[in-house]
Amino acid sequence: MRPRAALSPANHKLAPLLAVTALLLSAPGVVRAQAKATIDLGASLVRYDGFLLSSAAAITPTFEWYGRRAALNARGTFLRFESGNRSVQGSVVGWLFARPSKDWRIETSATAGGSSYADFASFWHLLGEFRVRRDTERGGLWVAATGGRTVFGSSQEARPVFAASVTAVQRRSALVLMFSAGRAFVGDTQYSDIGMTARGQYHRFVLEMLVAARVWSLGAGEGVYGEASGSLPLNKRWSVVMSGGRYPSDPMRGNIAGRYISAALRFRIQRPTRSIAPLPLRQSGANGGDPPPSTLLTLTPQSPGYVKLVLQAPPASLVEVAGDFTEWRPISLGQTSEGRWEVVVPITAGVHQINMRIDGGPWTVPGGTTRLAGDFGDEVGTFVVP
Amino acid sequence: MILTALLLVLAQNPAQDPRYDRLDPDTRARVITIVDSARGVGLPSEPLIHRALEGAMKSASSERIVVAVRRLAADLGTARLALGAKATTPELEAGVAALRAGASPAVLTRVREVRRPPVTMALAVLADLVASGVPADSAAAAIIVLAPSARDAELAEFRRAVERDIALGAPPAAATSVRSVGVSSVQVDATARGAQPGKP
Repeated sequence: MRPRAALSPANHKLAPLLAVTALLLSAPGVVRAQAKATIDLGASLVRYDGFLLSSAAAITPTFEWYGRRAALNARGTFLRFESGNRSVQGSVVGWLFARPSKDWRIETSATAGGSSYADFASFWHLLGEFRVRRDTERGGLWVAATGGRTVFGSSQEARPVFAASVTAVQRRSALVLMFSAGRAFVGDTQYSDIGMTARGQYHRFVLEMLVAARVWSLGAGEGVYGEASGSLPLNKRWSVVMSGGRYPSDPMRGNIAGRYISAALRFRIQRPTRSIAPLPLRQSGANGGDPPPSTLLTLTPQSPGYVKLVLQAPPASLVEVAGDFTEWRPISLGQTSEGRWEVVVPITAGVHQINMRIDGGPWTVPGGTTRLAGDFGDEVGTFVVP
Repeated sequence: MILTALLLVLAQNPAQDPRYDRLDPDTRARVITIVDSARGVGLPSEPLIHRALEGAMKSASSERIVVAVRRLAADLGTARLALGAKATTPELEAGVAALRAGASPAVLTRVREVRRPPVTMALAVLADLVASGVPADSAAAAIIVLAPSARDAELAEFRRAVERDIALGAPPAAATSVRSVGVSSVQVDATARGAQPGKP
């Protein structure tokens, strides 16, 4: 969040954006299976180009949600500088993922964001991106095109944005390298960025570095820049994040160039999910026959030693499960609502096996468990109780 | 106390375990022999009994039940050899799942070396990854990287993330490699690259 432009009247426009973020942060249960929410509390020393060095306190909430075909990332930053001036910035990015074809996949995203700083002008941007991506075991290649509008202040016309970039990814065990080159046009401003990002992990410490150069620029500055950030988890909820470096201006989002160093404590708002069932795996359709469509088993710990099994199943009059935890005797589940069947059973920690059947049919593997070949010409589902 | 006493009696005389009544006499005798033999070398008996009961519930033939129990006893022995004599029953069962998924005994040993007990979750995740289509060596490499420091919950989250990437179309090995170094934001969020943590 750099203090760029941002007019004061824009503050009321930022409110809905932050409100949506706050709503998402406050409703983890809606998407908790694949969601993460954090808030960073930190301090920075920053010198924006053309400004004096200043310290600032920062609060940065983020929210991420991932679905099978879509994702969402919302982020906001509130800064209070030693001068007493305040800066607010927020952005929301949504993705849609097309069905992959072999190694190829098409992704589209839409980004909306804005910022305001004291009584200076504000920035707003609305961008869309189309990306074709190929992933392999050792790396990948992304080609992206971005278009949209960016607005500087309330009294100016929106400026058109167009950008294109190519990114190559190399993965080497615990290290990921990304090489990217792109050209952007923002109104009369145009520039190219060529750079490399490296991300690695040593035990729990994650380090990410960026080195890049801005070249062939008209109105966006030139030169080499770079940033580094590291994070170290302290426990399940808290981690330390440090970062610093120099970044260039970003005419698309209204950021001015600057140098900074910051340290923050990151608090994970989202409670770790209590569901212990994985997403359904791809079904092999081997000997045991395909599972009934739309079955999904989830397990929720109850009182110590007990687990609630919840099975989503097609309309039926009888749903049974059997496993090592039942001494391989069928037990019936109770229907709590349309298609939802439940039972609470004592299950010890460890790896367990399970089969299910509907209306006395063949024993099959419920979705949401790992299918393994059984010893009796069929398949069994396995799951773990931590 | 009565229950405890009953369990003690059953432990000393497994042939009296009423669960064996679900097996026909011939199968029962052969299974008891295998279970006794396994118990004699220190292997857990419960997984073996459960395997026999599973066969009985599925109306498997006597021969098939005996073969299944014998095979499981052998796999438990292999897992214990790899994981050490102090391995618990859940660890051995997870080890068997990993072995059957395609992991080698050497990988089990390596996981045991780099992770403090229990290693149940690490081995279960390893088995899951291989069952998801991740090549055994790639899955093993990822787990060995994560095992020294990741908590069980983190391993489970890692497993879910890999499964989600696979469901989204990523090659299983690539998904595992990427997730094991925690690059989800780089992988997915190309447009948010500028949002470095802590940047003012």
